[in-house]
Amino acid sequence: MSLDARQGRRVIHTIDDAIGGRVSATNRSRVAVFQKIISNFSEDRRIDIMDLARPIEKNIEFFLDYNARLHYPDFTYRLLEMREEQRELDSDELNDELSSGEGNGIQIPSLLPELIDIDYAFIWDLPQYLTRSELKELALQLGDVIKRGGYLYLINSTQAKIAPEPMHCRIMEDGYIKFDGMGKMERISPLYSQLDIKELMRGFSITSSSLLQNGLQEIMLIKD
Amino acid sequence: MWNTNDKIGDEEVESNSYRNSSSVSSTQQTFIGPSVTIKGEINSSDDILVEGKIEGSINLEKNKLVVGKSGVIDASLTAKEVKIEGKVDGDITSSDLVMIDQSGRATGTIKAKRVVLKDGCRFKGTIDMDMDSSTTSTTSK
Repeated sequence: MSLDARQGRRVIHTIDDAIGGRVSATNRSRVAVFQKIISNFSEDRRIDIMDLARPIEKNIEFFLDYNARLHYPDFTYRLLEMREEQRELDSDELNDELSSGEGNGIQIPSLLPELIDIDYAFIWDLPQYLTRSELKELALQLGDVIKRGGYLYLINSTQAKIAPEPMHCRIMEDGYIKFDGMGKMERISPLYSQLDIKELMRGFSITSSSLLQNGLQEIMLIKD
Repeated sequence: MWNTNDKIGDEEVESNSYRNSSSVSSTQQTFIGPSVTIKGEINSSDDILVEGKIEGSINLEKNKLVVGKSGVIDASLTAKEVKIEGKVDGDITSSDLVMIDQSGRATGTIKAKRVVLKDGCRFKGTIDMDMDSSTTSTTSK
């Protein structure tokens, strides 16, 4: 169930609505797994959501309609700043590390350390912009703040090229997510498989995944 | 403690009035200029536009606070409405609206009835839109 915020009334988006939905444009997709998560949002108690993306006005509006408490660790902006500093030192090495996923990477930004009871965390397409070791570190940090049985949602690309920076994933009111940045697929992807994700995100288990028509894959994990 | 009747140099802190188009009501606005630094507690029954630097706390329960592009605030804020175009480090409580503009940067907990974060803004912290307690002046989560 989602909320049409502009009209202040609730509208139903069921999983069945989402499954079998058609992509009307390459950067918009119906997102069955995301809808599945939303359908789990409890109306009986407040939920804590952590969003690792840059703040997006529409997404905040969407989550707040569920009476959620939103936590923003400013992860993506900080990561991009750190990448710039890293690029100034050795651009070629950085490109190699990020396209292969191999290498030591950097000390990634920390999440809000005082949070220990997150119900849902959204990391969107960030995994593709992290090396394997960085992704393992992120999984450890997320494991510390997400409660047992809490969910983690991510987007993975099955294509060889990805956008230069993590995309703006905009939640639409019609059950779609719009991926801003898909027009500029110029960066080599580390091409993590679902098995890679499973191995790298230690402490979590994959519960659902769905391949979208634009080559993206949405994955939901649960904290063990 | 400062209030809006205080003067901190005629050129730096000015109290301006403006009228809305209908001229039915008028609202005083205090301007804290870019060269001003204030440390302490600010209470006001006027709207405040901050282009300078403030450390401490700001309480405008029935009024609007605008942190201009050059404004830097390291303080807990309570206001009816808060608009951030500059930088704020501290918890924010509003009985109505908190808006962080595209150029705005904020760190802390926002507790308000309505929260708008414009695309491009930067925010680190928690947004807590608790209707039941939105009119209280508490700032801790």
